[in-house]
Amino acid sequence: MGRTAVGSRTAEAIGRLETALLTLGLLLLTGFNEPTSATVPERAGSEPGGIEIRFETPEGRPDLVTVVVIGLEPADSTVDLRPPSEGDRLDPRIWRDILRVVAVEPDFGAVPSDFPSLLGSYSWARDETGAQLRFRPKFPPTPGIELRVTLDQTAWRGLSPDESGADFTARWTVPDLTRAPTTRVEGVFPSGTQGETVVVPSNLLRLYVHFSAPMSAHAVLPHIELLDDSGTAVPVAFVGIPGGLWDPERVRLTLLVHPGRVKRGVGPNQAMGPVLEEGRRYRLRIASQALDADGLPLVEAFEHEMLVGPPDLQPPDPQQWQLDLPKDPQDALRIRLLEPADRALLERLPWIEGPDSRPVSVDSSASVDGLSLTLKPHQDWAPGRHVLVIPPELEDPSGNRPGRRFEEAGQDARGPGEEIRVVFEIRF
Amino acid sequence: MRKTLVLLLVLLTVPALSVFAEGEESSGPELSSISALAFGPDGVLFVGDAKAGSLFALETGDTTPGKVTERMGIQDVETRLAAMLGTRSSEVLIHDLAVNPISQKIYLAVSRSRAKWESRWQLPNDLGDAALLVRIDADGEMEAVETESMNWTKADLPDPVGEKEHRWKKGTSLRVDAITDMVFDHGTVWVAGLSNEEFASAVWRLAYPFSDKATKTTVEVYHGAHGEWETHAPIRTFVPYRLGDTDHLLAAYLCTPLVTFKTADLSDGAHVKGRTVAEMGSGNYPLDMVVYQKNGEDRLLIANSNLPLMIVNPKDVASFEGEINTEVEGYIAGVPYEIRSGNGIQQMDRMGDDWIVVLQRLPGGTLDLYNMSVKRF
Repeated sequence: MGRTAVGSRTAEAIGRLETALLTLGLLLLTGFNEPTSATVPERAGSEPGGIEIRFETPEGRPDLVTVVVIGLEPADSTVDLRPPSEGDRLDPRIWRDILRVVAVEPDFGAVPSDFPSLLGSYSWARDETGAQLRFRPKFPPTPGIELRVTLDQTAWRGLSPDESGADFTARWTVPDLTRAPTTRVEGVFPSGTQGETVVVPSNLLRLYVHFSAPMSAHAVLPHIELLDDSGTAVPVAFVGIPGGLWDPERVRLTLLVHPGRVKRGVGPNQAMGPVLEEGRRYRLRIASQALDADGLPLVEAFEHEMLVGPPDLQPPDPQQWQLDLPKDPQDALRIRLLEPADRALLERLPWIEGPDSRPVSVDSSASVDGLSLTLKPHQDWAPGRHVLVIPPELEDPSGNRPGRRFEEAGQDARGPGEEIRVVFEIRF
Repeated sequence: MRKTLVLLLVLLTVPALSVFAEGEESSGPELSSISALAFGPDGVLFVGDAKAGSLFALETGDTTPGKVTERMGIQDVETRLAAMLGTRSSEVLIHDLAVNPISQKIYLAVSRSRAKWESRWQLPNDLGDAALLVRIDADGEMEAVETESMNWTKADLPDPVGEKEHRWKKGTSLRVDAITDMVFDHGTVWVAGLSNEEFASAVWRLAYPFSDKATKTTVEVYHGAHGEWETHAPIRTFVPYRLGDTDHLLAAYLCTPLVTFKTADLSDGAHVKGRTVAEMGSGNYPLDMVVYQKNGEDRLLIANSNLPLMIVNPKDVASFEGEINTEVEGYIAGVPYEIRSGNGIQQMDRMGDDWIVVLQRLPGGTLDLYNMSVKRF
């Protein structure tokens, strides 16, 4: 799990995205006085408005897929596109421009606008969730083929492009069930010591799921459940980010525990209570149906057990971290924390300023428990005064930042805070 | 109502009922394999279904006159067909191409069988059954042809070859060659293929609209390059053509003899020996044959699996004396031909008087659809 301190721009961008999303979520939630209604759990592409694109497949026959759009009321459209009655076939020559389904081979680039759509039939159906627009391919798509679905808001709503908003898209790859799955969940963090159930704070904000190989760009959250000690799935446990929140290699998935339910006193917390209740046991379950980048399911489902302890209200205090200084110019600098930090942020954020006041290039590796950080220099350490710089975005797994508790975040106008500088001297 | 009347008349007048059927209002034709395509009158598309041993006449309704006046085409047509079928372009296989002479729209018979290709001797119908008809207009717009709501009629071919393994194409059923090519000419649909007779190669003749039983004639040719009489190899492509004042079929076979048959000889139940007038090269399937005019004169254009485009002057055929009936030296003999660039042309049809539409496999690997001006020949 090494990371080069020089880092990739993408990794940094993802990090910023994580932070930005969290901040945005908090700002929005802080504004709510009334309990908010529960949002629909994320499926293969969903938006807060409730429109959702699903790929329905019978058990064992993913090639017999039906593309289903829910949350799309015929009354939303100002164009008279409605069929005479439910179940009627819709004219594909009209509907293929409204719900465009394109089948492409893996790694196909941008689809030209004059590219043919997948042949199939369109129909309306209705169930307890409301109207459904359904598309059934005429021929079962070949395993490995990617379906790219676009709901053209302009065509659907009959409004001008300015008024209709962005098109709504989803992707899905037909898995090849004749090939044996090879991808597994390697672990979920925070994790405990081998063989022991991890104790997590009740205000835990992030969980990380590590996969053994890159995962599909399609939605993974429908395949992840948080089960309480009675085996009941906890509703709205995680923030529904379309496509999921991934690292650039798509092997690490970040699950954001719904911050509105973690933060006390805001709408969702008051309405639904916290996601994790102190003293109870939970299991995070990743079903084998989650697809890897080849469109194959996982080798097996994975379960991660957690015992919930008291909330962590203590901000990280880097000044208390213990630095195990290098004794040799090629030695790593080892840092031990008193309480766990968010592992991904710990690995990414802290950096070293050298005696020349310039960054020292290091490989950064955090332990799975988030309790230690190892910084290995690319070149020999130069003796002299160094500074361990901890940016203000560093958080513990409960979202507390140096000098500021999660509970306080978003409620003051202090900005992102200041970086922490820990000065140390290297001598040989 | 009209349809019912027609059916009633047919029931009253036609004795061979078993060979004739008409589509129900509510159901489309059950095509088990779209083996060959040919256009008839009024937008009627004949579909040769080798698996069913039947000929379907589909009223496409594509009767608005159109005339292509410019170069048109689609680069890498297989990738676009793959997108319609939901598969990889390497799976897409085009079994036949026909141009509607009225609208000048192009029709393709398509399957997802190309990945099975493993031998140079395999033809599309050896690999799978085409299940999809695609129509392409002058702008390159592609659409699936929905046959479900079409009016249609069907005629069964008497005695098509059964499900027997091909002698040297292991694992391939001879049945796929029950229909190898079809042409509509002056009220008659000519069908070439294999019958269930000892001398299997056959020509069927059906009047359209389908009314009477098809006639069947078995045919035999001398293949000079092999020095043998052949009765099992089917005609691969042919055209009806009037040589002098006598109607003929000009037919080409594998490895590549060109043979003439007098249509008057092709009577029901007869066994006819053709007249071999040319040997045009070995190791080659003749794939398609069309007649076009240049400077007011007819020319025969032949597309090949392994040789360039060939042009034959029908006058040379008419004036050719005798026939090839002894083994020839080398592989070329008889009526001469000219060659033109056009390697890798897999399907071909006329598009009006000015254009020939081709599907050509290019050196880069893509299969491109485009129209060639006849002026280039």
